[in-house]
Amino acid sequence: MKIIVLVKQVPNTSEIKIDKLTNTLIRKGVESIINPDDLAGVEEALKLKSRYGGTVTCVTMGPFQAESMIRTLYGLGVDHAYLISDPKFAGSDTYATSTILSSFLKTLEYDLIIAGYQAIDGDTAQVGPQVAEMLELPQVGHLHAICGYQDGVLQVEREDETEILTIDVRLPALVTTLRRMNTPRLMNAWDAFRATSKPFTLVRFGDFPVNELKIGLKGSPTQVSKTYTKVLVQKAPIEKVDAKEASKKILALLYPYLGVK
Amino acid sequence: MKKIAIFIEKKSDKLASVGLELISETRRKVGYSAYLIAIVLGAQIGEEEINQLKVVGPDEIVIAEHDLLKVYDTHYYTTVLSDIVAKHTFDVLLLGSTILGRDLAPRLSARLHTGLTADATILDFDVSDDRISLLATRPALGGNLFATIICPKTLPQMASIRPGVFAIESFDIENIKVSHYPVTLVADSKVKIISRKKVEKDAIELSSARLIIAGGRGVANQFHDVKTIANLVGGEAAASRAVIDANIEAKDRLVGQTGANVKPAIYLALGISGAVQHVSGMEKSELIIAVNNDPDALIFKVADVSLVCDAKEVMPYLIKDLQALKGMI
Repeated sequence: MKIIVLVKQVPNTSEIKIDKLTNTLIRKGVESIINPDDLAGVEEALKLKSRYGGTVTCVTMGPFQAESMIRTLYGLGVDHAYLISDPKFAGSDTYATSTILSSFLKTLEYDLIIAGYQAIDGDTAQVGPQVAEMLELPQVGHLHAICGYQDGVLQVEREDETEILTIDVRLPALVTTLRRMNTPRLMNAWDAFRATSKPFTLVRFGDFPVNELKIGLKGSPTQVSKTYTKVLVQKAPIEKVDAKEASKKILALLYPYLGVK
Repeated sequence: MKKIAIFIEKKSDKLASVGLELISETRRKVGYSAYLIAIVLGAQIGEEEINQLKVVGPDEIVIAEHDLLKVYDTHYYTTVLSDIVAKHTFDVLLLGSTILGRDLAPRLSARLHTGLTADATILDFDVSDDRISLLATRPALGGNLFATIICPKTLPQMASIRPGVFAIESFDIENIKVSHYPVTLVADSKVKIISRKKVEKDAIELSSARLIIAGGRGVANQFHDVKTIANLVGGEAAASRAVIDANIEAKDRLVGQTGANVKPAIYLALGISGAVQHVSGMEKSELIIAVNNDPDALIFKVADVSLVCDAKEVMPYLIKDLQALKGMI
């Protein structure tokens, strides 16, 4: 089975803090990690390879510093990696990113594409389904497990708010994985050693056919109109109130959240 | 008139409440300056569901019924919705960011060649004579940053919106149009559902709760009230050390250094003094409301809203007020 895993290097968002004086993000010292949902996808791909044979190829898009992530992927046992990197791709929203990824993927052979459900620095969960649409592949997202493969059909378990669905999907297809579906393996010594010198393929603009008008900041259908850090509520003075009044005040604050259930 | 379409998810024979929330919120935001269309897909849409939709604020309800739409399949849902979009010209298309919505919305946006904002929590509309612009605001970078996203070049402008953010409201609108969209589908999906099983969601997930109602020593003897309030608001009940040590609640409800670290949208601390080991587990909450009868309680140092009052006495009022409110929506 030829498996491609889409992987992204992300800042560890659990380490990001806000400078409460300037209301800006403190980025200093925040480490880069492999997006957890993607790492789960790599693990599933390596498990499938050991059961059914084949190859595991990783495709990532981002700045050159993603090379350090590729070393880790090789250390885990990934066969080959492509780093798509070009200033022309910068500023792409999810649609433009999916356009670039799917255009490049058209130049590769695959039976199965695995993407992480979502990236922790964006939480959009859009790239997997958009790539699937652009490649006209069936998609099964939000996987709880990959059960097995037989005669061109992959059996998976998809999880939603209330159910687990066992699903057969005919390959080629795209599935999205969740970090909680497995525990990623550790690097073995030989692979880790080999990883330091194993070559990867750098892919630039011009190396594959893609519509220049549909990529980058200018080709993106969505634009960020403004950003702001969390609105910090002015701390109210400590007030003495009676029980009835307290209830009304609490209710007014809870009110926007009460459409639920 | 400009058209805003809202996809209504039907799951397990019930309409997902986020669809209703979106209709009401859009109506509140645009008034009657745009035409609101609710679109619901399923094997069969009953009279009761149509009536449920009618009161929350749409101008029109479009129903698409087909046996292949009974259980969600990305392929069939994308096909039918994109057909409906092609027939109308929608300026805006909104979906709930449920697991289904987050699967469907990006696939649909790629098919329609348009932009999509994921998991928005604030919606605004700029209405002028020739255009409605959607301004969808979403949390980014683990909630550390908010971004307002626009989609200026393509239609429909799409967004998925987090469930439970907006209140459902009833509107008096006359002559709501109900139309049936003729669905033609061929059973050609590459995806086949083999079996389904219900997941028991008993496990408490304090760390992902959006609303936490927490009780401490001051309400330990009335902890059932804390739970009632949590239930009424659709949140989780939590406790401080004093309550756990008195064996009133199990340890999985504990917030603090030796328990869960939480950062809900609202943390309501009832009768909690605010010892350091408790505060360290909840100080990242977006909004902290503290009720305590001791004006010098440490909890007031981290609270955004500080009410000096006996929490035991507040709870019955709050329950009564919430019940009254629930009766209305």
